[in-house]
Amino acid sequence: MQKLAFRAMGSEMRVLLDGVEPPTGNPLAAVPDWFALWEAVLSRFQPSSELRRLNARAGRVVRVSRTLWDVLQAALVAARRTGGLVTPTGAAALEAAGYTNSFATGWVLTGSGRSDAEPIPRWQAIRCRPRARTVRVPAGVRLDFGGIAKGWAADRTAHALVAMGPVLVDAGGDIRVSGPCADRSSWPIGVADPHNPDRDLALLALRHGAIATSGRDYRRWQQGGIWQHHILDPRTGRPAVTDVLTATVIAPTAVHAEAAAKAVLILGSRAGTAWLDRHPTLAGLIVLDDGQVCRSRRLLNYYWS
Amino acid sequence: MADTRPGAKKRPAQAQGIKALITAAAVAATLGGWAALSTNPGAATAADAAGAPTGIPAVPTPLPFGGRTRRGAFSSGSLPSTGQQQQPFFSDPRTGQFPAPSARTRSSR
Repeated sequence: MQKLAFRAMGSEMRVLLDGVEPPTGNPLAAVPDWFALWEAVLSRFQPSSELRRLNARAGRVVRVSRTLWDVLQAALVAARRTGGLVTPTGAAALEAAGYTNSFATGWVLTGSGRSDAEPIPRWQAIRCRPRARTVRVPAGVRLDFGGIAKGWAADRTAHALVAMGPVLVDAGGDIRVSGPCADRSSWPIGVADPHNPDRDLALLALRHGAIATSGRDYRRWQQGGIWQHHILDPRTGRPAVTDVLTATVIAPTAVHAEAAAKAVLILGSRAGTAWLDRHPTLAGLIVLDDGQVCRSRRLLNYYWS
Repeated sequence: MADTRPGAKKRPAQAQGIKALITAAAVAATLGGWAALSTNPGAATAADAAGAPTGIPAVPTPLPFGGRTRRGAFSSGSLPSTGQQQQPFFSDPRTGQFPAPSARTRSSR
């Protein structure tokens, strides 16, 4: 098993390749460069990123790179699948809530933004022309891809490496596998306990697809003496008020898993579990503030046995 | 009470006797059936195998369950019945029963 670990996109990244080691060279050596290139396009925090330039030209038609186009399309699909609960149009609301710097910097975020939050602009107002690969973001709206970018990077990396052998890509907890391990067994995946991150709540078996966790347990900060977190409810423009501390979802892709986990967190445990059960390709595990655990009906199919 | 309405027909005494006889026979047959079942447990088993309800309720929507689990502990005992076969959450990888995770999912950091 060849392993690679590095930091990118403000998170810890790991890649496992379950293939035959080549006689020369490291087949994973180029992966950090891929992530650096993607981050330079997709980051909300890098002043020179393509996303920042696009946001600065809101209201105008802008031709974008293939990477930005692909991630935006993935984000719009996620918005449609979640009924708009996960939307790329929330950058201004995030900054108003105080999320103005990357957590990778280690800063304590104490933004003093507006207190009169408004619903996040609708994602349907973004105009895309596939043939010309142009995008028009409505005036006054700024985009942020958040976890969708990490999920997309995990999916893209797994796809790019699959020819070398079975691969697992862990993009800050959003995990994508290319298929079963070389011996046809499943990948054992632990679900961390948010109340005690050194422990696992479950050991799951993943043969295909992806698993992702969204939570209020880490990316949070104080603003005006009130704890804020980075998962906004688009209906209010404020950090979601929910009984869910973390939501873990298994889905066909990491983008889909990331979006679904965030939607479940916003919906709350009861509606979130019912929502998971209505989608045949999803399974999930939900941890509440008080330590209780809920599971969707299909999660039993994934327990390691 | 006898039907005294005009035109009402009186039941013949013979019919009344037949009805009483049938009722007595039905009671006897039922009591006999219970007695047979009580001495032949296999009869109940066969009925179950044929698809008779077992009395286990199915819960279509998963509900919150259990509390926090500790590494190395089985937590299936705290699960409510969902009508499905329950499995333990996990086992301590150090026991060798299950492998150590290849990766762990958690909120992004």
